[in-house]
Amino acid sequence: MVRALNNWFRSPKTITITTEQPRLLFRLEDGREVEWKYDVVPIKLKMQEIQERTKKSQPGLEELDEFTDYLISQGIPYCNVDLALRIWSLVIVQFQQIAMSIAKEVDEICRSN
Amino acid sequence: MSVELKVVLVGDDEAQQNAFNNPNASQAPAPIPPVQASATPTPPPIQSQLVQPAGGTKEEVVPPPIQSSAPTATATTQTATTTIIEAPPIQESQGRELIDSIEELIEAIDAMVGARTESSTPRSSVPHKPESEQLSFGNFFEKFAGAMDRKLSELGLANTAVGDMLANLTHMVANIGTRVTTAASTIAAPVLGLGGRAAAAAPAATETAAAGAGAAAGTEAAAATGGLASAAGAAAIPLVAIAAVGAASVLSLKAFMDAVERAAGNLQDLSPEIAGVKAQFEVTMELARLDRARRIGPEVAQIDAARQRINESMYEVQTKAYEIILKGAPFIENILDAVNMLVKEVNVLAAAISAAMPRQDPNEIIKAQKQLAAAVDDFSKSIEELGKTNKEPDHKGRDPMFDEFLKSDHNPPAKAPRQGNGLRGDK
Repeated sequence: MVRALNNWFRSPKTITITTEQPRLLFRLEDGREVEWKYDVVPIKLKMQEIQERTKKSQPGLEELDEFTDYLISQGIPYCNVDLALRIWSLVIVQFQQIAMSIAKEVDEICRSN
Repeated sequence: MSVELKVVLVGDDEAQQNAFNNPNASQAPAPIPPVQASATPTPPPIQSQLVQPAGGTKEEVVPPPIQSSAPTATATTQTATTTIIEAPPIQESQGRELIDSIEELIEAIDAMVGARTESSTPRSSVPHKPESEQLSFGNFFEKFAGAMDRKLSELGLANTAVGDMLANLTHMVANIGTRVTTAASTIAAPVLGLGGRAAAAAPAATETAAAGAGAAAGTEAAAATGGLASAAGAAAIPLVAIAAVGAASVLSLKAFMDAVERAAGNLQDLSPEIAGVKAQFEVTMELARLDRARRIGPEVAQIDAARQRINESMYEVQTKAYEIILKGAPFIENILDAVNMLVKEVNVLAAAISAAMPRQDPNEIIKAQKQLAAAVDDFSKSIEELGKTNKEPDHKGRDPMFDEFLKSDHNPPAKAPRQGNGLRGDK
C-alpha cells in the first residue's frame, strides 16, 4: 500500500486553465474593421521583461518602442507609441482580473478536494 | 473623404475601458517584480505624438474622445460586443492585494493553498480536544519544518536543487501531519466515544504515522500503543487517504505553478492557444529580423553572414591547430628545449665576445670571465634538459665551430689529480 501511495504521489497531475482572449477592434482607413485577438499572459510577460531590464515600472519612449515592435510581431494591424501605452495600461488591468479568476478557480479546486 | 482611424476595446468591462481610454490616469503603480519593492505612481512621460509610418505598419491612432469610464462610441462596435473576461472585477474592498506579476500570482496561490491546508477542520457536533492542544500538535509539524529549513541553511543547501527538494518534501509531510492530526482529533473522538482522552491518543498515533510518512508504519505504531490505539489505527487509514488527496492537490498545484513559472516554455500547459501564439511569435520575430536585414541593406546581412562564416572557419582552424598541438605535444616540448638551448648559446657567444675584448681594468676582465663561465654553465644545463626530453639529443642544428669553442679551455679549469697520501697518510 505504501508503494501504491508512493506511485500516486509521483504520478504527475496537471491543471489546465484556459482564458478567453480579449479583443481590440481596428477601423482602418478604408473603412474595414479588423478585430485583433491577443493573449494577456505573453504580453504581460513581455512587459515584465522590459520592466526588469530597464528597472522602471513606467515605460519610456524606448520601452514603448520595443513594446510596439513586440505587438506588431503578435499580429496587431498597426500600432504606435500612443496605442502601445494604452495597451500597456489595459494589459495590467486584464492580467489582474485573470489572476484573480485563476486564484478563485484554484481555491475552488482546493475546496473540492 | 478620409475615414478616421479608431481603435476600440471590445467589451463593456468598466475597468478595462477606463484603463484603455485613460492610460495616464488609470495606470496602476505596478511594482517591478523581484527587482524593486515598490514604485511611486508618477505620470507617464509619454504624450500622444504623430509617428511617421516607417513600413506601413505604424499609423496615427486617433483615440476616442471619451474621458469618462463609459463604453466607447459607435453603435456598430458595441452591438458586436461580448464579455471578454468573465472574471469578477477587482474588489479591493475585500482586502485582497492586486496581483501585478506572474510571480505574485504564484505566491498568492501558494499562500492560498497553504492557508487552505492549515485551516481545514471538519465539522463535528462532538466537542473535540481543546484548540490549544490541537495547535500544539500542529505546531510540532511546523517546528519540524522550520527546524529542517534551518538545518538546510546551516548546511549551505538553501536555494539549491537538493535543498529545495528536501524542503518541499518536509513541508509536504508537515502539511500531511497537520491535516491528519486535525482530522483525527474530531473523527476519532466520536468513534471511540471517549471524548478528550481518545482525542489525545489518536493524534499521538497519527502523528507517529505522519512522521513516518507511511500508512503502514502508522498503523503499526498505532497498534503498539494499546487497546485504544487499535481503533485509532483503523481511523488512521482513511485519514491518511484524505491527506494523500490533499497532497495530490498540492502536487498538482505545484505542477501548475512550475508551468507558469517556466513562462514561455510551458505556457502550452495553460492554453493551447498560447502555445500557438508563441510559435507564431517566434516565426514572426524571425521574419521581422529578416525584414530588418532587408530594410537596413543587404550588405549588412552579407557582412553578418560573412562574419559568421569567418567565425566558423576560424573555429575549424583553431580546432585543427589544437589537434596538431595535441598530436605533436612531445615534439613541441623538444622544440622548446631546443629554443632554450639556442638562447643560452647566444648568451655564451655574447659573454665570449665580451671576455675577448681588450680591457685595461683587471676587474672588468675578471668580471667578463665570470660572466662567460656562468653563460657556459647555463648552456650546459640547457643541453642536459634537452637530453632529458629526448633520449637521443639531436645537436644537428648547431654550429660545428661552436662545438670547437665548447671544447676550448673556457670551461672551468680541471682540478689537478690528487697525489700522495696527504699529511696524515690517508686518501
